[in-house]
Amino acid sequence: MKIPRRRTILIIGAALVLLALPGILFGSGVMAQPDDLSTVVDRLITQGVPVVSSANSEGQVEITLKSASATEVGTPDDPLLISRTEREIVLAKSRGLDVQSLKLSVVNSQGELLATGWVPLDQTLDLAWLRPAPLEDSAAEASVRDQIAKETTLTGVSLDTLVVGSEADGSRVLTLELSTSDEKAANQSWADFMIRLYRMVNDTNAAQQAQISLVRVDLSDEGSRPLFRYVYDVQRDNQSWWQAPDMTSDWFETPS
Amino acid sequence: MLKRRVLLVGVVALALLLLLGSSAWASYHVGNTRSRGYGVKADISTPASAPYVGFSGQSSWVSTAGPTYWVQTGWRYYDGWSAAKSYWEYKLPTGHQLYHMSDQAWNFTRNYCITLLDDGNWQVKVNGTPKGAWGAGVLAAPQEPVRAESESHASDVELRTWFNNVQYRGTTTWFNFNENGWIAEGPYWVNVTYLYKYQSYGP
Repeated sequence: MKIPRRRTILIIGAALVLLALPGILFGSGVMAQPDDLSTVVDRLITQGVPVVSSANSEGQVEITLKSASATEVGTPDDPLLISRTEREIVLAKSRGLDVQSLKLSVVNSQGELLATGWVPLDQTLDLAWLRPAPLEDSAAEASVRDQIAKETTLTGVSLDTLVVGSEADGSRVLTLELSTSDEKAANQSWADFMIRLYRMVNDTNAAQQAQISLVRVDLSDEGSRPLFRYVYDVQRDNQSWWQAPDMTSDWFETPS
Repeated sequence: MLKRRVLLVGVVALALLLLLGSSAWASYHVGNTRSRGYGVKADISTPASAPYVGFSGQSSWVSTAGPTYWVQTGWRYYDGWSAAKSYWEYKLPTGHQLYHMSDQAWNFTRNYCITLLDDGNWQVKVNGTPKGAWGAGVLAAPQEPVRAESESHASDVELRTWFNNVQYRGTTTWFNFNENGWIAEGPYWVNVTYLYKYQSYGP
């Protein structure tokens, strides 16, 4: 009579240990579930990214986006959609999705290819940045605002909005909305501003654990015509942007 | 008479200040170009120590031609950075993208390459490792021309970058740069050893 009872206790004990093992090994009560591609695509569509097709074959994810453009040139939103797609795939890889490369194509509204790109996915992101940062939103906002006031001279440009908030997934995002009369006015200080903004965000993250994952910059003229749309994925060190033809290129490289 | 002279000096000083102020930001290119190529590659070194960049920055790269669309790779270094960074960058009909890969230490050389693939995309390689490939109908080969240059964004930025083994790709084979396609804008010049080995220098 005693032996079966002891065996039952032993089996229950072993089962409890097995159940607790993942938490012991990974240091968390809940294990992150690896994403599959359909989860990533659903997440992109929820965020307004126009995914028209996706596939995952032998570690290469292929995604096609549809631009709102009807011409052979994309729209100001296209670089932001590309960056969003790349970030979600890299986040999914960081959660365990088996992917080694991404082929991303963009077609226009007629289905004609605008551009295509292939990148190896050789980095993962620190998922801890999706949790609240040691520095509160208001403090991060005040810090960036203070640095912009002290370190930049925004000639010809007005900083209308500066907000630090969070994406749905918890990523901290710094959003800057600016306005100007036209490209010529903006160009007086734009190159200096963009060079310093990159540095300020990285300095703030390093010195204050601000965990700013994304920076969005939106510059329009007084008639709300977009002149510059930009996103800096800080964790991937990747900048994507559209700019009006007469905006300065003196803060990045051009071949001629 | 004295009053008029003082006024004149004041006006000239103001004009100079305005002139200097408006020309503070620019893009100066220094290097060599090959008129046509299916690719371009070069060993691009960083200077022995951090160069002066003021509030601005510089880069040294290989690139397809532009000016409207391009694919480019090299190293760049801007105000406040602790090191130069290897990067790739493109401009396509869908916009710009700029990606930093890793730091490139001072006095260190990496081979940067852009080459056309069979599928029509331009591939970026660093030290032989593929880092990405991009294409669009407007980037059809062969690009005209291919470039290996330094770029400064202000006239006081200090350039001293060595380019070596600068090559272009014919349909299949790589050849040393063999044309005098020199460019040296602003206060910069080129120290030429060969058409495929040179240093951007100045001011």
